[in-house]
Amino acid sequence: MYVKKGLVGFLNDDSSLLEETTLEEFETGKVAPDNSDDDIEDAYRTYCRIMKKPFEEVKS
Amino acid sequence: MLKNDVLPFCREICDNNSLIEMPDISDVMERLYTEYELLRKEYREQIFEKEDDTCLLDRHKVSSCVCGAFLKVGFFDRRRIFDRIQKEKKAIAVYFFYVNEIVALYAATTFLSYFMIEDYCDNPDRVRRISESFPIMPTVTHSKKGYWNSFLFNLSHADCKNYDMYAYAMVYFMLEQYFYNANGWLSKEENETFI
Repeated sequence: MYVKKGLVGFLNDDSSLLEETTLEEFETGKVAPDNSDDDIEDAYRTYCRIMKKPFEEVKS
Repeated sequence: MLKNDVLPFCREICDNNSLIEMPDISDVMERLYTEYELLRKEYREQIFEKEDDTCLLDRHKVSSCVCGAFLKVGFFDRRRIFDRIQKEKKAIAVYFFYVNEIVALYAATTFLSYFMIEDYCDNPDRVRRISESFPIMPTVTHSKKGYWNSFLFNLSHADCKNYDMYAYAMVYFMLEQYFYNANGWLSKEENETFI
């Protein structure tokens, strides 16, 4: 007899699914950290520095 | 599949929250099968430019069709659930907002696990491992929310028109590979899965 991974298994994997929230909070909440244009440019600038590539502004 | 595996999972969700009711199963089953067949036919035609019994989709694409069918039909009546949640005005666990998406994920990965178990049908230990722990959740960084939470969020925004069968087929492929890698089943000979 094999036991199947069920609902509890998924909830144990990701405890954030058990966090309590209201409908309003859920509908207006964000899920992952957002990246501003500055964040994107910072990441690209670091990439260019590490890879020794000339930096060009992302917008260009 | 629906009766043996998905229905017990859905009942577990209902048992945990009185705001969620089981739907008319026979109606849902019929609509699910219809949607699944429509999706499968659509993608067979796209890929093979014809549709007959010789045009076969791989396990990940079929899993993706199962996922898409569950999303499109919506096992639970989401509007009714949201109305009841709003009326009660109480906070509930996040996963209840994703009931249809978590059922779709569960159905698709359960379907995929049939093939994985078939691959290892002569190895009871591996069959047990697949049954008990597939899919393993990939780890995430830079987020207080886990991968399943983000996966369900994405599915909830991939309504019927936006659902990308090909992209989710690759996600299911990666979940299968991630499981084998996490378990150290890395030998190429015993770890051949086909896209």
